[in-house]
Amino acid sequence: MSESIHDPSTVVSQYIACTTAEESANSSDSPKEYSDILSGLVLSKELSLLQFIQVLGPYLTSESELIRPKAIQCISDTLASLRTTNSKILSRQDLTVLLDFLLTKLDDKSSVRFILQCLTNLCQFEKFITFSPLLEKLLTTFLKDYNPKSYLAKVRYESFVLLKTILTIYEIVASSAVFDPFVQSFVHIATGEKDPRNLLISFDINILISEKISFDPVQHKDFLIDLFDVAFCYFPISFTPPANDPYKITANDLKSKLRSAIAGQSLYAKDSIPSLIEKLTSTNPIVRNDVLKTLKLCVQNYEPEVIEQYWLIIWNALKYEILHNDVSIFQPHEDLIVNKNYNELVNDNDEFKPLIITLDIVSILGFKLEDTDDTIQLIVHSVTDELRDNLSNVKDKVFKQSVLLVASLASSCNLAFNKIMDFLFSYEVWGKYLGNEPTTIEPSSLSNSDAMEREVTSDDLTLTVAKQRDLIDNFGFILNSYNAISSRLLNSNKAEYDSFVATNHLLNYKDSLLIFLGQLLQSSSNLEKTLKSKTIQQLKKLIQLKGLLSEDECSLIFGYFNDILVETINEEPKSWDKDTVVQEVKVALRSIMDGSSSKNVELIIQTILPNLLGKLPDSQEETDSDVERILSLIGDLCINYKFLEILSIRLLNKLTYYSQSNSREYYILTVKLLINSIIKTENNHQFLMNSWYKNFVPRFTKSIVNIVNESKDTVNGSVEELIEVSGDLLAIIVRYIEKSHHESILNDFTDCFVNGSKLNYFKIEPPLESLISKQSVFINLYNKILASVNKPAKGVVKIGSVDAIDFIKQDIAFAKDLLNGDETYNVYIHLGYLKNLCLIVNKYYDSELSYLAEYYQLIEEVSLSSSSLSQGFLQDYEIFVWSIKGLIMKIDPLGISYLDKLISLLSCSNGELKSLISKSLSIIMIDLPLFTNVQQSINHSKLISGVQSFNVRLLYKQRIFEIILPTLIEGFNSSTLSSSKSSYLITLSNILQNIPTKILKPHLSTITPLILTSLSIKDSAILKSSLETCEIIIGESSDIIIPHLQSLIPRLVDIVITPNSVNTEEIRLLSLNCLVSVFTKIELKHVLKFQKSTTIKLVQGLDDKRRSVRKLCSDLRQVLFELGR
Amino acid sequence: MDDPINANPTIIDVSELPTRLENENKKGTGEQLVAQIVSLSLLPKSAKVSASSTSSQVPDLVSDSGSEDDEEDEEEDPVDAQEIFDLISSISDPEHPLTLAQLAVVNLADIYVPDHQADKSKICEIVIKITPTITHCSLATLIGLGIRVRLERCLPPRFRIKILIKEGTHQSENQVNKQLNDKERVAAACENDQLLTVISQMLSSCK
Repeated sequence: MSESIHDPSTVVSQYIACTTAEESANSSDSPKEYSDILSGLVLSKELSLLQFIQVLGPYLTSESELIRPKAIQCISDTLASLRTTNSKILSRQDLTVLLDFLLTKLDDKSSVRFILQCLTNLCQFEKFITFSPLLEKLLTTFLKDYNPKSYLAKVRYESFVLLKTILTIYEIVASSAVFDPFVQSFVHIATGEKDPRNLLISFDINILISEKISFDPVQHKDFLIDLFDVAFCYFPISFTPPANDPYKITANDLKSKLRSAIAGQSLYAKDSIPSLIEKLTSTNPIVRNDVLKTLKLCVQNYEPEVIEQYWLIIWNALKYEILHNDVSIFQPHEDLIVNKNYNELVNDNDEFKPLIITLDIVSILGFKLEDTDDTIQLIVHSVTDELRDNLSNVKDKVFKQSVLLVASLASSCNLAFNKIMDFLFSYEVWGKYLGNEPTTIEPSSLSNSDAMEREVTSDDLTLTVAKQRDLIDNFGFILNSYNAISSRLLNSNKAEYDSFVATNHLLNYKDSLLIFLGQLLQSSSNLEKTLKSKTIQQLKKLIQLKGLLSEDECSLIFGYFNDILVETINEEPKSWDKDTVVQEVKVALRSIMDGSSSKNVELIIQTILPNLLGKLPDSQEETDSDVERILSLIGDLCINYKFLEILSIRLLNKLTYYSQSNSREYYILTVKLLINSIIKTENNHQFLMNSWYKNFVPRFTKSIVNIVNESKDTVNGSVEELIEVSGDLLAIIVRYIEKSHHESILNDFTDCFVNGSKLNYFKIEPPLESLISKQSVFINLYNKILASVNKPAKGVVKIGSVDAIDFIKQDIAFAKDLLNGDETYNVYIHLGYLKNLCLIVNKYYDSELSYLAEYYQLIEEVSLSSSSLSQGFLQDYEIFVWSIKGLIMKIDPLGISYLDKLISLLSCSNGELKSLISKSLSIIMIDLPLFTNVQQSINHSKLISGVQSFNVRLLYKQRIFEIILPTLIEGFNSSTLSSSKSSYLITLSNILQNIPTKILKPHLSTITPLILTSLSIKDSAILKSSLETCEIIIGESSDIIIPHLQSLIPRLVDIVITPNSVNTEEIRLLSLNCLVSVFTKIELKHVLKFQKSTTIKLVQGLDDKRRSVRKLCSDLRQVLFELGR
Repeated sequence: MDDPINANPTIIDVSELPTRLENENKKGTGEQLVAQIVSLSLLPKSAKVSASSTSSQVPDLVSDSGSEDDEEDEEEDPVDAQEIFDLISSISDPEHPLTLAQLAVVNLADIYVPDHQADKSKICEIVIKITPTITHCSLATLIGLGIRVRLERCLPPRFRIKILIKEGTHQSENQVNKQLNDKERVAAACENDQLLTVISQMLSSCK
């Protein structure tokens, strides 16, 4: 270390000057810098402590109220710096002198804040800690000379810091000399404190005291009362933070600290529990919630012995919370009585929240005393005794309330649970309803003999249906107790869980419970739908309780469920699918398959699935079958992949029946069901479908090919649909197959469909004719596969064994050569080849597409002439557009430049070409399912198979849109002819329809004026597109439209009430829709002034020729009448 | 507490009510998809049906000079009993959480629309007979008023609405009928804010 060049007195004066300046500006040099130098000097022994004080002397004795505090602060800062570097540096002597000096200064009001800081620093030096008289002296003098009432909050804060520091560093033992002055000092400074920041630290100290110091309840009685009082006198806190609170203290901070302070010391119980219970009489829900939360924390934190002492008081206070209130929020079909997250879910203002907390406390009370068997027995005994009368009679007014209380207690621990089960299912309580014999009661569970004296009359036993429902609902709460215990043990203690599952007393009663529920389900009248639904809810819960039912018992219940489904389907052929009981079964089965063990799924597959499938007819010939509804029921159940796998195999068998031409409709329905089920199951939990490629795909593919081949001659409309849905199914399966298999999958399909190979994977015989040698409808099926396989590595230009360029050539050739015959069918094939072209351009072809230039030249030539378009030209044009689409999806510059050129042709003079271009924009922008990467509905971010099938740039639409929008708007504004204006507008509208509103939103303000002008053009096509856009604008950013309402609303109304060839039905409806949006989506104050005039004018619309217009018009008027009411 | 007097009426399921709403546009998704794909072709019809129709295929965007004769092309949908029924069937009952049609207060068969309704120059009277759920139903007048308000809002002024209690279903049939069709009393009722709030609640469930 180099010899210091600092002169102590200069540094000190610099420090003083600097801290004085500190408040005015943030000067570059901080006082810390100087105090560090000073402490450095002391450390290196260049400056003794005495010299240091001497140097400070003049400042310490200064008359100025500003200088003295600075001097003390300088000591404090220096001490802080010294302490952190070497806390041994100061000798016992040094410390004594300093302490004496500081304590004498405690009466200097202006410096107290820094004196306290000094003391805080001082007491952390090692020699201070080891020499206890110092601390004693500090505390006694502090207690004597420091009077908190005369200081500001920030000064008082330092006194709390001092005490908190002492508490954290020192072992303060109850018998030591420092104990009394310390506690007294704390009570002294904490009494009367009001500042929120100080309160927080005060509560903190209170908590720390409880943690670190063990009190003697008798000897320190007075201290305990004082300590409790300085905390509890604030309860309940209501605090609204001031607007500019620098410490950002919330009411919740204060509340929870205070709560922990009260609950931190078991010895407070004597005072805290009665006081809290007294405060429970408040009617303010916020206060009640606060009281209950505090009480809950007390029960949680206090020693079990203390709780043992007070449980009766707590119970007596809490039971009325439940017994005297409406408990309808507790639903029997939920899995737990008290939702674990209720604290976050329910607002503190909620009047039901106290009920939830109360039940929570009851269960914690039991849990706390888990290890004290005697007390638990005592509690259970007295609770059940007290509630016995309420519980034995379902008709009792507080039946549900009582059940909730015992169920909460039962969910606390093993012993309580067993005791309560024995009690509840004893003959005189619930046993009589369940048909238990009176003799089966264990004598021990009978509390007293007079219970037996009460005769059980037969009147008690016959329950009305309403009471049966109540009883069943209340079983639910008891089952919840089981659920609570078993889930808790399963997560914490496996051995205890096992023993609970093996020995709990509910096992003794489950048989009678099952029989009872089963009887209700089977023998009660079919009209009692709620009763049945409730029974199903509880049976479902029984299945889901961990370890309660055996496999046989579960399958018995599934048998019940199955019977219900079969019966209802047979007995209510028209409306069984809407039957509430069937719905309930559906919900139950779904929930079971979603969560529980695979054993149950297996059971469902064994018991229920075959029966449902049995309901499906083997061909459409069979009358009266409702395939659609049964399929949709099966689809609703399917959320588990095991179930799905079995289902797919079984349905595949059905499909072979349906492939006869007369059952085509069923075939399509079944395939759709499979698609939906796969999507749903994958959404629920992703899984790979690799095995399906072997088990399902070959047979399925073969069956489609057969159907299509058979129906070749008798072409009907459903072939296209068939191919679409089947292709979708294959595509989605392929998407979920590991991507490493994709190359071979594509080879298999290419082999079969393109090469027409004899030995194909699908064993299709005779082999198909190649779809590149003759036009075939299978191109559409093949496209689906080609689209969904993973995109090839860069540079791969072969599809299977076929060169991409050959494919392209063939596509072009076929696109020019149309088939004769059925129209839609051939158009479908025609488009199949165009889509294929687009796919290959997108995925497999990387080099220059030279043919595009040729085609563009043709288009340009046509644009100069005014002749009508020949068919040959239209075909060429199509090829051009589809190729561009493929390019644009991967934002290929070539594609963009051609698109730009096309848009600029909108200003040419050939009207037909212009409308053709407008129309083709929707081809370029449309999102066909074939061309989207991943199903949007799938909520996982990535496919499990890792498949990415397209060269789609994420934001390609946005890019393209931003490139062409300015051209379109400019073109619209500069053109004078309405025909030119219309082609711009229609082009825009075609694009807008295919663009997500997210992209559209930033541009709405540019588009709006254009739309508004075009609303007054008398042209159906223009009106249609502008109204469509208008509705989007109103919905998306209504503030843009507000300034124009004055002109917009009358114009729209005008369109509605003047039907003519321009304002067709469609236009009128669109206009009405816009008006509906205007009046429902725009803020009331902007539209209210149009209410009356619009309502009156629209009367004319009520007499419209078209019913749909009249209907919408009256709907709108209804909206208007209710506006602002 | 104050249970409605007729606490247990017979209820018709909504799905079993006659309606024209939502019965249209039922097309399979697959079919729609095919239609969407086929619509993308730029040349289907023109390719098939010779060159002459090309112009009709690529629509002429200049309007057909707006000749008024074309208006006649639009087919007239007559106002019929079903349409009236659809308007009033979903009104809520003031004391049950159900609609009037579910409670069979209004029935399709009890709505009469005269045949000359298509002639827009003539006044046309629509008769609706309502069936109270019980013969002493004190709310029959309120229900009638609700129906009247709904129809007056939804039908053009050339229609006159007559609301009657179905014969033999109410103790004071004549009185109620008189009250329901008395212009002055209806007008007065409609100025009562409290009553209007109740009615607006009844109408809030209208589809």
